[in-house]
Amino acid sequence: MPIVTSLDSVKEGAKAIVRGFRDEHGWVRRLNYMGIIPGTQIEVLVNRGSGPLVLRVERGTEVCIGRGLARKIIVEVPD
Amino acid sequence: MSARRLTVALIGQPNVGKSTLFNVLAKQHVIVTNWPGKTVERYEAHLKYRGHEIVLVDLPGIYGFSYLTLEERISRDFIVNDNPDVVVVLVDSLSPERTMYLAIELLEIKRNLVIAVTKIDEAHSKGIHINFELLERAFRVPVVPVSAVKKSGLDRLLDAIIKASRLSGDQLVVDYGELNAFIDEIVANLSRARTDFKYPLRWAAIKFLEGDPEVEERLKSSGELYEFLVSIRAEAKKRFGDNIPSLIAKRRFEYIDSVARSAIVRTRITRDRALLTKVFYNPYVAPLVSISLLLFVFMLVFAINTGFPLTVTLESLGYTSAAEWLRENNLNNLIGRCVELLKGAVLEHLGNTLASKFLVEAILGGVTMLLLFLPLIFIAMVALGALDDSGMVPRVAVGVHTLLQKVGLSGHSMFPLVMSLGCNVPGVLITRAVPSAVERVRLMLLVPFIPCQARLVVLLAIAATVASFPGALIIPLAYISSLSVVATISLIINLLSRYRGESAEVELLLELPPLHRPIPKVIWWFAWSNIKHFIFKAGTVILLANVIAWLLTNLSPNLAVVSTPNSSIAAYISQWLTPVLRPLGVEGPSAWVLVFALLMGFIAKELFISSLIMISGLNTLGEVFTAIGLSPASIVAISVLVTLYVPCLATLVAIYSESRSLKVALEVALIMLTVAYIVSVVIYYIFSALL
Repeated sequence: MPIVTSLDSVKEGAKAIVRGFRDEHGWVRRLNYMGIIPGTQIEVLVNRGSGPLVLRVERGTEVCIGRGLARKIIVEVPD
Repeated sequence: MSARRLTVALIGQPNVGKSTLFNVLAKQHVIVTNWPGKTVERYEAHLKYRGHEIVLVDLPGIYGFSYLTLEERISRDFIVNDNPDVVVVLVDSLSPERTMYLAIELLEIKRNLVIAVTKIDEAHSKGIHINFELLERAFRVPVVPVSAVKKSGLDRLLDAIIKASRLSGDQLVVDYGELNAFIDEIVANLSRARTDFKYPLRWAAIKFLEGDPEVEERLKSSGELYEFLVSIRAEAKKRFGDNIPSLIAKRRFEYIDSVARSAIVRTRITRDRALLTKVFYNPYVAPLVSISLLLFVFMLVFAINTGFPLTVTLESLGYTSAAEWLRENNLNNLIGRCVELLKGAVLEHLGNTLASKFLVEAILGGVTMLLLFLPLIFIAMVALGALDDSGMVPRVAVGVHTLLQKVGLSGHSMFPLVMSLGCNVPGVLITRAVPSAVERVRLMLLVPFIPCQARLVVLLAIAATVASFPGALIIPLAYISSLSVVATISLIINLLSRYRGESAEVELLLELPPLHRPIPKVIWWFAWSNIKHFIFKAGTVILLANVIAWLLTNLSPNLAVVSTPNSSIAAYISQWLTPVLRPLGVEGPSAWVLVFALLMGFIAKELFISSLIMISGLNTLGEVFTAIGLSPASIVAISVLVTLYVPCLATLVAIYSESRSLKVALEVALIMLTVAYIVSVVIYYIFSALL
């Protein structure tokens, strides 16, 4: 069974697929513009349990995002 | 072909190479102004091409057309309201699908568009191949490959701009799937209403569905129509929940993918940065590596310019003669010697008259000041340009973000703060690399509190006058108090803006562009465009201020020429201001000398010491302090005061020219004076009790 969770709890090195967002305003719109939309595959390059996360996003380069913002991204982690 | 004037907007996502392309197209003829009522700079260039006069306007880099950030608002208002003849949108050939997003949204707004695909020289070596004809056919606008570094494709781009100015017809229609029915219904209602609504209707309909605040505002006045449109949107929300904006983004990317599938081919994908990633994002290693890198750059700048701290290192290793040579022949001294020669020559040629004295002291003195700053700024800008072009800046920002977040700043602030330890002027100038306008204004207040090299020199001199216990304490105390002041002010501003309900959270969302070896030409463009600005803007003000200062120290209150500064206007002002220093334990008939020196320190901190010695006619600073009758507690307090109050005229000028607001510059000066005064009075009382 795939697990649905927020991005900040995805382990380093794991891949996840974006399913949705906790709110649709402000910074989330920026995420959309950078290619982070429902269905996008994300590889978590760095996640230390605190501080910012580094992601590799399907269509583009690497992105660094703060933990607060990562909490707003709902993802599905395949087994 | 009829000759005419074309207004052309240049737009692109961050990191796609927009400013590089603008620099190449503009050559040297760049006009820098501000966007009306905004603190964001507006770059404009005038070119002549095949009988056309092209006004090229560089818009701020943005990811998409929401109305959230200042940059987005400026760009969107310019494209929608000012309606330029042609818009050139940049797509990065290294990540074409992602950066095409902005182009797609523009294709929905405008018909007169050119898509410039940048960094094409790199794309080939990275195994990315793009079929431009297929893209042109899909988008029905010219698509031009360019390389700013190799200067290829520029004429083709200019031809395409002229061609695009004649395009007409409908904008691009993207398939939004299940949302199409709602979009069509909104469009139908909007076109029936025949308002003076000047936005492209379909794009406006999409924005309305997204809940765009500006489109919403414009429609609100339409009464019944607005009510009806809201009901359509409510219906859509019932079907799709709150996810409409990301659904719209998803459909746009699906459209991009469908075009890219046939037009973009990748032959090889390289992923070789695993180790670097590990090092750079380790929570303990990252800040260390980042700070060492910044300190290295800063040390390099100072070693070249003043010899310090390399001289100390060389000495401790036993290379005394090498250290001595560097102390004599560093850039600062070389410039100083050249200027002295020039001054001597002028005086010899013109004779020792008042006019020649004015020319040498006021004019040449001002030019010297500018010359002494230039190498510092230049080296700082080259270092920053290299870090920027290589993709290191955002990585360093990430490394120290968590640390700076504790005082309400973001990782972006690191570079200006560290650079300011050397000199506040480049520190202020490079705040322009900070993306958030709010944080940038904050930094302009914080940066001048960082003790620079000039203040270190003054502190060393003061510390040497007090042999006993507080003497050793003066330097660490000054640094600790100024860094605490920076942290405290930052926290206070943060609390204030949270209290006012402004952007409380420092969010981090940074693209990390691929690392690559920096290109010298790009570094040069970066450095030169920054320095040019400083020379012309700050240079004139520094010169003017120096002239005023000369007049104040060489004229008496009834405007007669004085033989010594003791009876000058500046001396009178100092005498009048002397009571201000009473809370620091500074009293007596000679106290005004100290005020005079502090006033001179406004111009440049080094003048604090030289003017004390010049006016008193004594030989050492220690003698001067004894003559005034300063207690050790007063000396400690004065050292803190000197560190904290306005660093120098050049920094204030830099703040003024960067913020383009006299108000900001004056506020910074006022806050600095107040804080410096309060902190030094407190220090005085603490030390009077202790000693």
